[in-house]
Amino acid sequence: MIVEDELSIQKIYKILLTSSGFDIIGMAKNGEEAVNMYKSFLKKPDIIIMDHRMPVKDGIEATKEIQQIDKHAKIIFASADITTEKLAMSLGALSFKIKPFDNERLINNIKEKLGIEPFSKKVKNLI
Amino acid sequence: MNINLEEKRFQKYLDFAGVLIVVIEADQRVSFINKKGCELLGYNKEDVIGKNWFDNFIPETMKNKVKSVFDELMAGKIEPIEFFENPIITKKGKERIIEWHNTILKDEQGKIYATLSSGLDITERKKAEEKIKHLNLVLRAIRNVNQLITTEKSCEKLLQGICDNLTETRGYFNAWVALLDNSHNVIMTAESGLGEDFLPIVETLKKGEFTKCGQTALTQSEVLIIEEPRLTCLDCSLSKKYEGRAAMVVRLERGEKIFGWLSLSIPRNVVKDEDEQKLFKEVANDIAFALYSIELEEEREKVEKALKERMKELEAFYELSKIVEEPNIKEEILIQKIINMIPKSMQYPEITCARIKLKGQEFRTENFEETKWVLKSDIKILGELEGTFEIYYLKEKPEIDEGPFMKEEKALIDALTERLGRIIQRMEVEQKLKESEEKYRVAYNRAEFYKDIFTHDINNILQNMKSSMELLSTFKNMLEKSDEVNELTNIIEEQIVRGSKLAWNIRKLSQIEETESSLEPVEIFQVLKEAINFIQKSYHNKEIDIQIDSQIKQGFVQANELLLDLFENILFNAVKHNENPKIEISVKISKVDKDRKKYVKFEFLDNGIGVPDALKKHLFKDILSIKRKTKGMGLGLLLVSKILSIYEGQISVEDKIKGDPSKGSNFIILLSEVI
Repeated sequence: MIVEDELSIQKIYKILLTSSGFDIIGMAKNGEEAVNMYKSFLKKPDIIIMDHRMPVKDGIEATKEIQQIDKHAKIIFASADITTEKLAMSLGALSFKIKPFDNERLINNIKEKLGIEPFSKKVKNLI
Repeated sequence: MNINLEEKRFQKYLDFAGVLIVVIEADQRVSFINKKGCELLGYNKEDVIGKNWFDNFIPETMKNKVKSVFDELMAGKIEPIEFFENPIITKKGKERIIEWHNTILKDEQGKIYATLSSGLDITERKKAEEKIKHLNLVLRAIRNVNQLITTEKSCEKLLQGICDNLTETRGYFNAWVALLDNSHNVIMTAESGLGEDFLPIVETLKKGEFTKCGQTALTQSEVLIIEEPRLTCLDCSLSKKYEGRAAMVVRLERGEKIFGWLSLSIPRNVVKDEDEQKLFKEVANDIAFALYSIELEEEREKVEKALKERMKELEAFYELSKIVEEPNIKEEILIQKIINMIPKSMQYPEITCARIKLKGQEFRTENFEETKWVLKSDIKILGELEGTFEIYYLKEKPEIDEGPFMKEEKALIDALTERLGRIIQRMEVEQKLKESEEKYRVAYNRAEFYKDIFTHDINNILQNMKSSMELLSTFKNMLEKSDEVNELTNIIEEQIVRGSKLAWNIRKLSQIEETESSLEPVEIFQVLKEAINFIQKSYHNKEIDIQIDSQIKQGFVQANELLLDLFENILFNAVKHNENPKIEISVKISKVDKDRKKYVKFEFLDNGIGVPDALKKHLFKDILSIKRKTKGMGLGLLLVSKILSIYEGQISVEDKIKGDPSKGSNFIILLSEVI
């Protein structure tokens, strides 16, 4: 699942992740949409890529609410706001990617967190 | 012969008697006088025998009265009084008081032919009696004086009371006193028994011309005795009041201090009496002691009063320091508090009011009323006259140093005014410093805010470009990825536009903060078209349809060159937040009246992702009130907001289709119309 307010970055994530073998089951433009979307999923995503600075509800608040729904939710932060890293990690984020980051590092990080060998062809549900 | 012998023997006996014995015949002549009688009179017997007793040996003033009593006695009209007193006059002219014991002598027929009188010289006894009587009067006067000394606290009343007491008891005929200051100027006089006769003396004393008796008394500690002022004090206007009287004058002294002198008119017969003089000296010492005590008391009261004033002053300054220490106290409140504390620092708090005039403002006590009893002090700040501090009494009070105000009160108001000037000066400097600090804090926060948005946005731009480039590199020989390649290429181009716009906006924001903008009428269509061209050129690979739907053909608004940035940023946002393959923007232009002002209204309607309701509320909040790091207004809308604040324009956002934000938004801008 992708939570990102920038349309262009949403598009890039979509191209990057699908070409890396992941399925994207949901795209949210802000934290509030993300929480509502997460609630609506019957099958929860394996990983959530979460931006922080978004309108209506930010990534930290959305994380807290998602964790209340599912304390095992796996969230990777991808944000240009470096000052939020500590807080995000303390809330249980798997990792914090500071924009601008390499595509490969994001993909490897997702695989690592999902227990998939790097460059493996095994497909996992993303978000 | 025998008879003569008997007579001689009888005469001898009479000569031995210790009393005067005289026989006065009916014709008033002396037929017998004994030796003691001759001694008293100072005559030989031969000089007395045969002489008219009354004409020669009775004082002129008594002669007729005594003669008439004698005649009536001889005529048998009255019985002889066994004892009576009357004076005789001696050869030297001195009077002697004789206590007489009389009997009448009759012949064989029972006819009265003479009186036989024995007389005892009681002159000295009489004098002693008179002295005792006088001293008793004096003692009574002294007792009264002493009572007065212990109770009276007023110098004036004390001296008058002393003079009155010394004369009322009839111990002295008159009494007067002159009081001197340390420079030996007469500062006070009092008298009793002299009345208007004393006035010329007061005048001369005031001129510094002391009476001769006063001058002499001041040079000696013992009592000055003037037996015959009538004869010796010819240049003194009071001398005529001393007929048959003497004067005693003594300086009033205690230790080294000489307070003045006291003068008394006294019966001449007691003036030389040592007891009299001692008593007089004692009275003078008691008076001096009383004056000394009053002086001490006055000095103590003066010190106490000064201390009280000092206490008031200290209390005022203590209170002032407490007021000044109050955190963040405003200048107006500080001044009002100072005004309110003033009355209790004055000698008549209940009738005191005050006013401070400072830089065109007035601060008053609640009971303020302008009267003629005022104390003023100028308030100076940095040497410039900035106002006045005035204290008024609402009722007339006795004159002291500065009208009804004490010199200590003047000193207090001057000191308070001086402090007030310095406090205000300091507060103004602090205020300027605070304003400066606030200005820099705002500037710093603004810079941090811009930096934060810029960093965030630039990193997102870089993320877009970096990821796109990496993916393009991966897809470069993959024909099946041609759609993704196109999309990624478009993203890169958009990010270049976005980056340059970001840099441009930052520059514009800085420009707005640093320079003052002047406004002028600007034609709207030309600027709007220029903005539309820019957007379409910037996003040449996007299908963008921008339509102008105007109710007016031409319009001028109060603006400047920033109007282009305003339109560009609104349009830029409409494009940026739009996922549709065809971006549709409609710009509606109309004229509206709002709050009695005429505006040109611009409505930018798009088919973008819309603005969620929660975001609409704080989208255009001021830069300082916005919560940092919560995404709301980007730099583009921030610039729009800033430009509109310069133009005194307005901005709001609504849904393009009311109640459905996802169908796009409507940014509404009002700009003042120039007619």
